[in-house]
Amino acid sequence: MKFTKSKLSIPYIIYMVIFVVLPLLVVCYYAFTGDDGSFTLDNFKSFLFNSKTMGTLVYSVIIAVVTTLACLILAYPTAYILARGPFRRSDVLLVIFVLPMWINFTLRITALKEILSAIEGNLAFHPFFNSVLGMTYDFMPFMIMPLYSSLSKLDGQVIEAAADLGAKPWQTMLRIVIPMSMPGIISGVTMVFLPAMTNYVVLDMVYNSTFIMGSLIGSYFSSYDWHNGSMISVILLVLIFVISAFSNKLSREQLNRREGAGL
Amino acid sequence: MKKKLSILWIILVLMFLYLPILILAVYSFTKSTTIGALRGFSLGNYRTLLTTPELRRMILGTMGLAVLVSFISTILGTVGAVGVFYSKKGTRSVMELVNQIPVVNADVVTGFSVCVLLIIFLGLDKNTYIPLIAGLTSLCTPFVYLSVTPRLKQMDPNLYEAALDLGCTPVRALLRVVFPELIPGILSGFMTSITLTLDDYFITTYTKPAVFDTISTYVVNATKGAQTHIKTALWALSTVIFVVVIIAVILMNMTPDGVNGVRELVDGNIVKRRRKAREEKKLLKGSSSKSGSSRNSLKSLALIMVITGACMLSCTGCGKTKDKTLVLRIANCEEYIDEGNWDETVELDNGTVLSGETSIIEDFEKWYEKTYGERVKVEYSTYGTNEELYNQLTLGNEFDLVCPSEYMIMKFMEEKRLLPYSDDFFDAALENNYYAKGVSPYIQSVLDELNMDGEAVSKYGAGYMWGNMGIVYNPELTDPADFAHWDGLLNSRYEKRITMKDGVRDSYFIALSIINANELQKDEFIALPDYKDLLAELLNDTSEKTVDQAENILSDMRRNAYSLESDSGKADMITGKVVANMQWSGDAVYTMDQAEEDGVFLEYSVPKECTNMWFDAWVMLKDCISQDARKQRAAEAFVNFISRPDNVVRNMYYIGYTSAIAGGEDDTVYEYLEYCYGAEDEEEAVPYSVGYFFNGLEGAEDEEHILMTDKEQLKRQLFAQYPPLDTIRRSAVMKPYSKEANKRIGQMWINIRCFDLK
Repeated sequence: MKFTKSKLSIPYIIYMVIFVVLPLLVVCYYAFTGDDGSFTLDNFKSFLFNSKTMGTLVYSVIIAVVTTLACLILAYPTAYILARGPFRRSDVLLVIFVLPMWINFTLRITALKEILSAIEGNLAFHPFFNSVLGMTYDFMPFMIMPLYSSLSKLDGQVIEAAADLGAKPWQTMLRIVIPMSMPGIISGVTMVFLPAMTNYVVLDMVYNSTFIMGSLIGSYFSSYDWHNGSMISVILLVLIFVISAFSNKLSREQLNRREGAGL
Repeated sequence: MKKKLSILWIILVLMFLYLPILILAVYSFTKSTTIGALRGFSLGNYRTLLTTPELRRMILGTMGLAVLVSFISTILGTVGAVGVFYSKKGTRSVMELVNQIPVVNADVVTGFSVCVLLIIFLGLDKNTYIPLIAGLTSLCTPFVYLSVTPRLKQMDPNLYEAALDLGCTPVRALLRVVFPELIPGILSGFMTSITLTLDDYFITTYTKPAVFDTISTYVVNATKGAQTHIKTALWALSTVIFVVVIIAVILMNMTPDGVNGVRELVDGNIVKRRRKAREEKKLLKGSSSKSGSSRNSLKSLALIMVITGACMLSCTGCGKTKDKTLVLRIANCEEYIDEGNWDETVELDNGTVLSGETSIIEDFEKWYEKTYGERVKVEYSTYGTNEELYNQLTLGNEFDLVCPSEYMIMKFMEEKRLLPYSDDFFDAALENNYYAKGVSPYIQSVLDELNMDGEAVSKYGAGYMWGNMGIVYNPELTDPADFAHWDGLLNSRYEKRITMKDGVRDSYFIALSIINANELQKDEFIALPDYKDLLAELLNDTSEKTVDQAENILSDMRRNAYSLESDSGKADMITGKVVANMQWSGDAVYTMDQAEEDGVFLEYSVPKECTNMWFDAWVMLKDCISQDARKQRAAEAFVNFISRPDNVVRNMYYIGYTSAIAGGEDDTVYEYLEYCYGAEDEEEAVPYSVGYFFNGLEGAEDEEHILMTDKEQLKRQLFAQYPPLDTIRRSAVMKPYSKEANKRIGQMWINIRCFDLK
């Protein structure tokens, strides 16, 4: 058989099919079947018509939204200062901001928890605040990075032009800088939002909370209920798909508009 | 002004990111066990980190796993990227799509789905490490692919053609022309894989063998545990990792080439969750200087290869040293056996001296070789709950000897999974049969009475520990009368300052006790001749209506509680974060002991309604021992060894639970009771009878086993360890749920773990 370069892809394709595509198919299979192996929608019904499980979905969406906003509010000025501020794109400084990513997140959360307990005493009195704080602490570097890379590519002359044409600083910010850094914002938001909906370890470690979608998989799993566990996975997959499609669309529109504007 | 504001902001954000790590680093050099008062400089945490075998194994294991997984992913991803790049457009776009799946997917879902496919669907054994490696590789490979592909796109397509024209074979052209061009991409892919593996929790937790822990899974368990020295050793670990990361970054920044390296690492990381190769291409274009760097990169690539090779060699080396030693796989609850390293010596009046330098497991291996002339290696692993054990067994973990509670044993018996003990095992005349000689007559009678399908539990299970369930409370901060009843846990006076067990059975039992509280305390009810049976019936009620009622009670309780906990409650009681805690008697003893060291005196109450009496017993699994007479002998010998009175005391001393062993002729166990609870002040002493335990219920009144003890002990450790007869009377054993009830109660418990919109 003649060697062609494309044959090199065969092991990779086989691997991806077995360990990426197949698991998802099996999860779908379990999600739509009952204990006896026959097709059923009961798993989904029991999720959708149960106020408690829906409560968890709502709660984790709210936590994820607030966490994402908190990350954005903290990270945007930071990234802006790093990219355009007095430090003139210092690589070292940027590295300092993303360096925590290399420290195991469970250890970082341990550190945060110890400090919080020393300050607050009882962490259960502010469950929502502590959850958001823990996640913001964990995920912020993932927001800074894409913001930085899109802000540092921004053409400084456009900003100067806006100022020359009489725009006030806040106007420039609102109408020029933020819209132009939209791809970075979108990319950062997806990078924080999805884990914030599923990373149950942060909540679990901070104050043993189980109010998050990821935790539900674990709950079903530890009562050896693969069918419902798979059902939650499928719901999460759908959510992820919707969010990715949405953010893809957004950034494409952004790109088109920019191209249309000749920027 | 503006500049100052910017600097201020940067400093504030940096403080937010770094202060916790730095504060922890400072405390890691002290004797403090909580953040607060600084207590004396000490390197103790670092010593623990370096000398505790468990910690060392976990750290080395994590690093080995990261290198192995990254190595596989890098090869697979690089070759795949090249192959796909030169494939037809259709294949290419399909693969790009497939490649996105692990990148955007939630890690929980990735881990769960790999686990479902390999372990549940295909029945693969977790202990082969295949699910773990496959799961992590499937996460990392796409990132390698994503960091190599942009390089391919940048490459001059004519290079390869030119090489062919100049007489290269296609393979040679690929190796000599194409791959060197890709090296920066490959390197950054490799580093991304390392980072992803080191940081992963979700995939690992669903696919790892029970005996293996990575840093993430270990830390999550350890921070909930009550072992403070491990907890503070992790502060040291966090500091070490922090310093290593900083040094690595500084080193990379020393050379101008390094800056690009860091940049690429950062980019590599960012590739996480990034969907568009388009963006990456721009990033890479901006950052990589093509010329010159590839030779250096080649060197580092070679270095990485050498290191990996050495690691793999040493791994296979380890594998080869295995001889024909018999391997006994034992699984037990966490912190449920003497692990050695005591800081004091126990001297009993009958001359027994226990110093607990080594772990019981090591001692057993030595004893077995000496006694039976055969070497045995114990592979010891732990699980959190009975359900977790059941799960692990269902998911293909294999153990020979495990130690579940009575209801789980009954479930195993129902499923015909257990091997009965041999007849020899019950022969008290044989010298080494410490179990048969020493088991408490009372416990023996209870195990005999417990039936499943007409067979007594005692045939399959050798009692290990037993106890009941109650409430540990802090008498200083609460009104003890509140905890004479189970509904004390619903008392809003203690809002968010009580904890409940994250266990469906214990919680459901308590809910049943609260539902039936009035009935259970009626004198007429207690006086009924078949009181015991009626009690058991009420507390094993799983009808739909009762489950609904229980859900309401438990969801109120959850709202009132600090949290659901499986292990952290002990530590939280000691620090005073919670004031009352639903607890098993043995954990209660441990908690009270620990608290006393800090000068806090806690008490234990067994509510008036009823309590759950439970037994943990060693059972042998049929499938795993599989007619291997040597294995069965070793398993039975293990049970006998830990039932030897001195070892019984060691375990009791270490874990705080009450052994099912009374000792028979040997008085060591009773001596230990005297040692722990004998009255300090003879005049104030009160009598406390434990005769039922040593002689059985019929001989409960014997004079020999009346302990003179301090009055406080009636509410403390002694009361928890050896409950008096009236507590024994109101205890009920929980039976396994039927399949249907299990589903109902399982869903009820999931609802409790969910967020209540109300």
